[in-house]
Amino acid sequence: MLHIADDELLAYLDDELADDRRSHVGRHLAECEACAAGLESLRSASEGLSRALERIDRPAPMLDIRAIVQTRESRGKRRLGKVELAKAAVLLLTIAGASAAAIPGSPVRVWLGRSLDTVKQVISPEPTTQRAAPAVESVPDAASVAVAPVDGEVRIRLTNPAADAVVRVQLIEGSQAVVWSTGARYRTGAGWIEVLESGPAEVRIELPRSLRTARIELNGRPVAIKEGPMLRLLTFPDSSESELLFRVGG
Amino acid sequence: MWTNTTRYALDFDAAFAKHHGSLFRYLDRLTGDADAAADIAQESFVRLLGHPMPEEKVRGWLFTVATNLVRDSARTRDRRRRLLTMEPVSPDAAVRPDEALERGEQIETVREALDQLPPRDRQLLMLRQEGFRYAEIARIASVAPGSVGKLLTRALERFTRAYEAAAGGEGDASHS
Repeated sequence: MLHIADDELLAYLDDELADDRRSHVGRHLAECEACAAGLESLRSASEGLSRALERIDRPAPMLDIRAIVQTRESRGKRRLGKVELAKAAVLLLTIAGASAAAIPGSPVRVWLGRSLDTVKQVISPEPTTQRAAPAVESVPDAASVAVAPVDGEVRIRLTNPAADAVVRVQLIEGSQAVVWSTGARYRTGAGWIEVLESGPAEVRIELPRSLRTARIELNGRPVAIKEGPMLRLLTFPDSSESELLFRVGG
Repeated sequence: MWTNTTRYALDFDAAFAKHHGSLFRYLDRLTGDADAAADIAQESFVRLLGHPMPEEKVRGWLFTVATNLVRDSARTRDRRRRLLTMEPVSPDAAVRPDEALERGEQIETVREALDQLPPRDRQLLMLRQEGFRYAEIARIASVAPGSVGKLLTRALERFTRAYEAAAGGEGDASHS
């Protein structure tokens, strides 16, 4: 009796044989113990491969493909490089801030004063709220809120922040994501923090370096992400850094 | 709804929701590098916007583009090597240390076995795992349609042997 080759047995297993050939192989398997054992061996190896691969599977990262495509499209229209533009924006902000701060009674001077107050308030290293309950929880008027990641992911939402607020995102060695702000209300849930109506002072977001992914949203739109070891400003895709600084209104 | 052309009116959002997970899984298994897998999956979808096609062809097209990107990417190969030593044991802080260690060892064993395979063997096996028919596998991996069965059988045998060797002969892929 002619035995069935292994590749044809695998094709039988994968339902890749034409009907007449499949019938022939089926009849042969009913009569030939060696080929039946060969089929079982292939089935076992195939199932073993599936189980092995499932062990290394990781969840797919969150991606806002629309934002990425739109950014790429707009990038082609710009003459100025993205990183240069980002640097220019920060520099402009710094210069404008320094100039305006020198004027007594100017809004920027007031803003800087509030920022200094903020720094004083957040000087304590311990976040006010240590852990978010699975259900949504409101946290009024805390200086900071922290949540533990869920499946290596965290999402931070900034809702209706002051138009001139500055957001600083930093990677830290801790295990929880922390948001520091003043004058804001917070809502938290498993793996996410929402910062509601933060004032004009700096909002500081600290993300554990070990996070797989993190997303920062501004009024529902993703503005920055952590991918692997780096932070990235979505409006400037090449701006990968370990620290980001951006202004809400700009 | 985002469409890539008016001619085919492909629902891009629906295509992304439908195929991104399996494309990332395929690429992550293939390269062992989650960052590279995410980058290549993203790039494949971005390219999809510029290529009108009927919906039933989208999946095969995405996997073909992604496979070619992996093939062309020397950086991916470098990263894969790096990841063999840098793979985090577990991203989940809630996992107990002993469980994390055991899981880390299991991951290392599987990746070591996969790393022993020629790239084409890995591609063929991973495409089969994603449920592609032999004809589609042939197109995506650029091999002769008639050779897919033989190549898959050989790749499966190689993986099983490599896995047994990586596990130190204590178990095999089919009985663990």
